[in-house]
Amino acid sequence: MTDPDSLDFTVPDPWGDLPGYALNALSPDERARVDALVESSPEARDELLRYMEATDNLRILAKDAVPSARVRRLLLAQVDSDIHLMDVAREDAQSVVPLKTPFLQVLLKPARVAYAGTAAAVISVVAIALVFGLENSRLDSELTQLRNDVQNDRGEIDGLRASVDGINAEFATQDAEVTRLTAVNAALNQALKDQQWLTYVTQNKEYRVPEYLEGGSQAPEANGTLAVKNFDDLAVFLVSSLPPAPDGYQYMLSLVRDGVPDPVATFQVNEAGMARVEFELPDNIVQYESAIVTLERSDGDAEVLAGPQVMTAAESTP
Amino acid sequence: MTIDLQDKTDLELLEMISGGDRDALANMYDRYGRRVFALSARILNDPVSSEEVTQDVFLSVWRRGSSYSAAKGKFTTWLFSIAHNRTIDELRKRRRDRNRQNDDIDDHLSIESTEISPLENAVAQSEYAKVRDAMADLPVEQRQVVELSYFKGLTQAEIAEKTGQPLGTVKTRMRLALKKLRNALNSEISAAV
Repeated sequence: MTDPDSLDFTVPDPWGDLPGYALNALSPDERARVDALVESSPEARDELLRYMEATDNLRILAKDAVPSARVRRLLLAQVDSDIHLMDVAREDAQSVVPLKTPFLQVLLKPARVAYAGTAAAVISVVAIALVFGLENSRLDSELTQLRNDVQNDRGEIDGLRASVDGINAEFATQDAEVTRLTAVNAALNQALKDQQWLTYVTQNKEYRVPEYLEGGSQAPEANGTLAVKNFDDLAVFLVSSLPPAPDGYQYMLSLVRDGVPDPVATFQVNEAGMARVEFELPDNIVQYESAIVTLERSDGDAEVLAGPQVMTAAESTP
Repeated sequence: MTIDLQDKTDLELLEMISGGDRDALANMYDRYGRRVFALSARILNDPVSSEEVTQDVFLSVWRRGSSYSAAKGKFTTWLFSIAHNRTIDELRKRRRDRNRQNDDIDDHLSIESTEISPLENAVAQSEYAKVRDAMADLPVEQRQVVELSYFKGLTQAEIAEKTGQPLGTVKTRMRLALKKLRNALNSEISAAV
């Protein structure tokens, strides 16, 4: 019996390469030889199919894996593109106008009958020129049509761009609105907490309310409450309906003693016009006769009041 | 419409695809996309490239589906031979690129035993187990040439060089391995997948 290992495999052996073909283990040359073999030999093709059935089972050894949904999407997009291109090619094929050879024949026919030699040649030249002229005219017409198509497409693209710009602008507006509403919501939440706190201090025996403030002409809706914790230096000023200070300005709360304001805290209000300001009393609250709120420059002297009064002590408690 | 397509055989779908039916291709992808991807991922160990291969395979079905004939074997055999060809092409292209960069490819070509799929634990008599058992029953040297060629993309000449065996020995081992695999795996598997 011949030992397979002793065979000279440097000689092309397409039959012996059938298993390698099924395993995709051939060089391009070897593969081409096997292709030629199975093309000409049904027996070789059947044997190759038997080997391929065996290798086909090997794929089962691959772990189950799922491609991302993107693959299906891209595949179908590519298919759509193919379909579109085929449609365009079909339309182009239908739009090609054949040369007007019957016209040429009509022109040449009388020439063949009535004239010979030079006359026929002249007519032929004229006829050919006419045909070229017609063809040129047709191409011009197609070119013009294509230019018009391009122009129309540009118009559509410009329209789409404008639509996209409009949508983007709408998104930007909505984003800004969401941002604004978020801020308002946060302010309202804070206001609710402050209101609950105000209710708490006005009803809690640990606190007393020595002063209520109201807005002047610049902030007629504003009102404030100064609460002080009993037997403590802690004080809290709650204000509402006070317009936000302009850029570069802040509000300043001062306690008034002997007609002289003593600044104790600066603050800003939120979008709802509310603020809660906690501060330590510089002296016993009974030493002060009232409180005021002034509008001051943010970079101004914190100890000197220079701005207008926006809130003063209320003439009557609410 | 969808239900109708699901009831179609592979060959009926392929005929529709050859006629330019996009939905038929989508249905074909839904049937075999995962398995094509899994095979490619097993060989390339790279999900991104495997997804590209999977897309290419089904584009080939779309554009060259009419080239299939029953003489080329079962449809799935034809489909997965395209998938394997394309995957091995990608693997060899990478190897050439790496060779150009003077990288040592030995690590990439190292022989690994067939991995155990979770499927085996869940379904004892699964197709996976049968194929794996059939592979395990092969003599080591025969299993080696199958793994090096089918899963590692080496040509028979490269296997001969790597293992230090004559080319004739490699060819013989391939032939014997495939015959044993075919005999061991009954047609039940082929019918099921």
